Amino acid sequence: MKNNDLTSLSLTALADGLRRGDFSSRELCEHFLAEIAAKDGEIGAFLTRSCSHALAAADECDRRRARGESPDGALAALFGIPYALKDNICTKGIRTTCASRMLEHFVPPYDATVVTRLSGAGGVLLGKLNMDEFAMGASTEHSALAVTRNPRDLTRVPGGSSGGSAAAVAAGLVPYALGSDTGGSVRNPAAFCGVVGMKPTYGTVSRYGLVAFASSLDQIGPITKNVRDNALVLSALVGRDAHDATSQEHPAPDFCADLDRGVRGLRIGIPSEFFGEDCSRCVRDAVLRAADVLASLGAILVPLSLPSFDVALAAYYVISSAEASSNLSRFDGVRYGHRAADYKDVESLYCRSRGEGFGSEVKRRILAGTLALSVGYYDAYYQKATEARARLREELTTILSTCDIILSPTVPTVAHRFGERQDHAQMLLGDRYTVPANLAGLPALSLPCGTGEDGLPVGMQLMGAPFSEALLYRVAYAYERQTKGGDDYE
Amino acid sequence: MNEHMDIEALARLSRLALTEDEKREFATDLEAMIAFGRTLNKADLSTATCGKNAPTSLRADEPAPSLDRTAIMDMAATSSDGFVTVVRVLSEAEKEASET
Repeated sequence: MKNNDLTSLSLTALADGLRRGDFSSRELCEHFLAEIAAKDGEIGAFLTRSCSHALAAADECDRRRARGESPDGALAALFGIPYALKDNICTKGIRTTCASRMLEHFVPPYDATVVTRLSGAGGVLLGKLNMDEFAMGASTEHSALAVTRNPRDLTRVPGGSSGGSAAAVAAGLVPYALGSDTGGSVRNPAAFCGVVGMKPTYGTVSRYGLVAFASSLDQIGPITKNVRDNALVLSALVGRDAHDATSQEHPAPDFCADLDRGVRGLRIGIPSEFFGEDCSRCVRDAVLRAADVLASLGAILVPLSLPSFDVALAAYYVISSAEASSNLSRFDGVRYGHRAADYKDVESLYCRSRGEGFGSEVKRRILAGTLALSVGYYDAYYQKATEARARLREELTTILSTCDIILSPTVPTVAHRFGERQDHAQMLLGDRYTVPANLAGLPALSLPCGTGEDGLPVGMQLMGAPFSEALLYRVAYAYERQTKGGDDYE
Repeated sequence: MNEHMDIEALARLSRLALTEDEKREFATDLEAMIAFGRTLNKADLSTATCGKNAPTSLRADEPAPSLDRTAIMDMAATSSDGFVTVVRVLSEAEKEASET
């Protein structure tokens, strides 16, 4: 088999090839390490490559397979297959930087639960991926450690904050990757890079070992080349974890079971607020064409309104910044992180360490969060934001009692050029369509739906009721099969 | 209180040492953020509840193995004889006062 074939194969095809003995896990691992060595100088997706660790894990998979010890069922799908992680997911013995000077040399003493689960499924970790510093941003331009370029156009950003994860998958450097999504950080880069990204229901995937940004919003999710791959990876991640009190058992964790059931009779809500003036024409047209495809397959399109949409972004910014200001207080040069060399007392140690260790965007959000929680602002901002969040959740619950899913663009535009969005408020607007799912704790999936300006990918977002991941995958798969002719990577 | 004082007070609360350039930049940004936050007042939230927290489930309160002690100590910025050494948090005067 030619090397290029390995790069384009789906997870199912890779697992079949391993099972048949067409190639070994070591050969697969060496292939992707070679791809990274050849291409990542241009893309810049990886912050850390764990080559020796990966080859040892691949050899262990080959030994287990030779002894007849490879797993059955859902776990078999990932056995011996390489993957990579956003660099805010802790990996024992492998540095975890959050793309920050603050944690540039941090080597965790434990694995995140998702890492433990993927290791148990025979996943082969190739390395850690670039991101906006502490996951704060939507372009990966806020990484303090590296520049990541969009594989579809190297002059453009890959989106963020999981930009390294989406770029690595889109460039064929790794079969799948994990990102984290606080306000759209899996879906936004998936849309910009033309791949599939899922933000699961809050509590579906354990956050243990994910460096916290905003704990009531954060979720880990998979980024893949196609829909079925995404469902397979999420199946391996979900489940209650005693280390995360907000994690829950998923009531229907087999996300591939309904993939082929089609969309006939499903009611798909189209909220007008997501197609307003801030949505570029090429994105609007591409997503509405996708809606027509679903209608041609038997889905019923339902125009509707989400009145709280207008305040969702402000509520998100206040709540996420407030939680970040608290969560990031641990990075003070004593408990965690960079320690300033020059200080006169403990107070100046804290202030200087944080001043030197954090980048501009992180400082901006810590300051905003501290302000929102301070006397005189708490009632006007934080309290109001929590009320707006509750109202948004009520409206979405009502909509999803009459519709099966909600369809919208993922991001208002295609990927922009580096440095094109210097204005902080303008950059935030890119999160408008994705933050409602985080505020309401709902699952939301981004998948490619054609191209827009300059031939760049456009993403559409499917949002559903809590624990409706299987339904989102079913609708996405129907669209993908109709427009690409099936599992096009198989 | 003027804007310059505001940003310095906020930086102290946030435990962030900022340069003069950063103070100017962030003061402007925070003004924009305050204006942006005012959009929350556009919504009629009079009947909204304050929202419920996500359901949580605590694990049993039973002894269990913890992380390796050596690995944890290796992460400390400075340590001595099995203890994490920290910067003095009391001044000499405060220390004397606490001992009397």
